[in-house]
Amino acid sequence: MKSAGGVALHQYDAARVRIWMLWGGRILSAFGVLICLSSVYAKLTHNAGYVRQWESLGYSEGMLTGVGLVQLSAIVLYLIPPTSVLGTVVLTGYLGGAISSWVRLGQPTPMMVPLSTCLLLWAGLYLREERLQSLLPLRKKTAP
Amino acid sequence: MIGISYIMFVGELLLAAIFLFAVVVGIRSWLWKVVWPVAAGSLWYFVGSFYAFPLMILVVLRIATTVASTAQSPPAKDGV
Repeated sequence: MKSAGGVALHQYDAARVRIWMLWGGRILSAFGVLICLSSVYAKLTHNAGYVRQWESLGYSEGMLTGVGLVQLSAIVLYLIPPTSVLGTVVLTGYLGGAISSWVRLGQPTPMMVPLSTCLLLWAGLYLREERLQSLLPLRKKTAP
Repeated sequence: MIGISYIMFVGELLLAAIFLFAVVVGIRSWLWKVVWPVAAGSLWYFVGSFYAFPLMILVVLRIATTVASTAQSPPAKDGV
């Protein structure tokens, strides 16, 4: 049994850990994608409540469909495995714009929605993609 | 189209389940087993679920990567 900063202790079976991480990643990704899809749906259908909120950000209603299609394209990229990393980067840029709009208005609570959605998308991909874990390690390897 | 409130309800339940599973199974220290859920629960209750999500996600990632790095593959049956 080992301890590393209070975390991880027992000697787990690597294959079982991979399966848990894969399914955890899929669930987090699905949650993030569904939040984005509900936003796309509101944009493409010009939902009245959403249009009010959109205009309060200083954007015109005429832009809604175009922005919704851009967001939908980024989600499609995220959902296709070979382009999922590119999709995550594009969605990060898109959601960064949303965060910026809310910060400009000085409203912290709505800002947390795109921020948390972005984290869900990254975390889902991170848990599913071993190469991403090697590229962006969350902890240093201990010396032997 | 499924409503956003339904998506949020199911998603929050699943994220909370993943977080609690990771904390209970992946952390040995009883102190941290209590601290993380209390911290996330306080954020969720007092300021909202979207404030708790980042903390929960970071704790899950930290535990998952640490457990994955310490997990061992079973030895081959022929001993090689």
